[in-house]
Amino acid sequence: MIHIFLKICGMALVMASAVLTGRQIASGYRKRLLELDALRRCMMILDNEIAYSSSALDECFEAASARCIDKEISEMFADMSRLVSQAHGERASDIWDRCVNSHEGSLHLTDTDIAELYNFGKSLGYLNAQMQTDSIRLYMSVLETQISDAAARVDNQCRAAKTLSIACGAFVCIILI
Amino acid sequence: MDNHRISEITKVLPQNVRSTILRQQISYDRLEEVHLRTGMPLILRYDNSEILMEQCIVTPEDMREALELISNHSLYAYEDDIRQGFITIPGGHRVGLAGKIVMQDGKIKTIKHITFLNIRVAHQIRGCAASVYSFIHNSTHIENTLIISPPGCGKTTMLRDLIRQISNGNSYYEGQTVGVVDERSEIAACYNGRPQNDLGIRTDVLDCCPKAEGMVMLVRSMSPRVIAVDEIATPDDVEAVRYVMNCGCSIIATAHAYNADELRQKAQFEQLLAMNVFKRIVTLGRSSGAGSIEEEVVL
Repeated sequence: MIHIFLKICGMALVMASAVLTGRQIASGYRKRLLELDALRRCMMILDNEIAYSSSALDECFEAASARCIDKEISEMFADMSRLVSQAHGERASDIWDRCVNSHEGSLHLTDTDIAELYNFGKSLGYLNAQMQTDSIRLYMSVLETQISDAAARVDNQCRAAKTLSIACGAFVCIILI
Repeated sequence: MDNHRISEITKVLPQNVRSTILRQQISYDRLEEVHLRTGMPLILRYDNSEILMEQCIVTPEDMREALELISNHSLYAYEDDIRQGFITIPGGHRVGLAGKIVMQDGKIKTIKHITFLNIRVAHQIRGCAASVYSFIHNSTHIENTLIISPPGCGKTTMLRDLIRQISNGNSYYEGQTVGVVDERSEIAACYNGRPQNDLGIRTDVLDCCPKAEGMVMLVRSMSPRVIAVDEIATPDDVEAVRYVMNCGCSIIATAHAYNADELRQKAQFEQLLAMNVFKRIVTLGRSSGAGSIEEEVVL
């Protein structure tokens, strides 16, 4: 009797963890979409700050950080602003690489998204206003493509993640029986 | 070595140029200019002579890095400065730029392919105008004064210290409000609108403003007792000087000339001198080094 009770408890735990894992994975897909959108908004702010205010790069990143809807990306932009303003003789692209590197572990972006993020940094700091805004707009168009692609797939991905997790949990339960 | 001040220069230099200079045990006080030319060796103007650093060849990548650091990673924010051919960096140092000029509607639009940089190190010599200050001050006010010299003899340095002394005053003379029109950012060396050179506590600065317009603006808006401008040269400048005088302000100006006689031969100054506008003329030279006072004339 106790033996059966323990098996039922074990199966319940396996199923619960499978459901939670599925939800966690699905939540990652949704967070990726939110982070891409937050990045797009930050790029719009950078673009405006450069095109209409000609603010210095650290001020642009500070403004973007202040109005960012995602905490992690906001912190990444704030770090960039702080390090650029300290002016230790580093290139902006190197500073950006360091910032992305220190935050990428906490983001839910894919390897392709992160590669594009690094790529964006290569154009920072040495271009005239027109070219700088063009490069930001180019990255914004990349982000928009990524967002529309992710938005189209996110529901299916979430459903698949949840279903597969439950299926895996059920499979383990069957083995337990 | 003044580490803080030398770092104002080195931190805008690309990595390999920076390390080359730091290895040389450079003294800030004697460093005058740093020349970077793409494909050419680094050259320093140091202690009235030239140091050629053949081991340090400036690459296009170095030039890009230097431009990025000079503009604090915001080259796009300096388009107006680039159009004028220089950027002022913290500390008041001026970075001259040269490359391919892009014209639009007969005016300079920008400089592209910037290939040559000249960092001119700012030095203030406090007290260098002490004797001139008492010479141009009568019992009640500052006399209209013209400081003349050939290029590189310390006119601007003298003017800067004179402004500071007039503005702060001393135990003999009380301080006066001074308006400065700094067309080329050489006097105050403003960075983000703040003077990097000490111009005294009663000084207002119009930075990067054409002299003729700036003098009129200051008279109308800041009620200065004294107006200071560097290198008056055009008929518009001369006209503005006359306007300022008629408003009850004193004026201190500089001009390029070897001496007062040569100045009289210049058409734009002939009338001013004939009208006895300037009551004092101070001539600078190099007889005892740059900034030596060669002659003080009372008119």
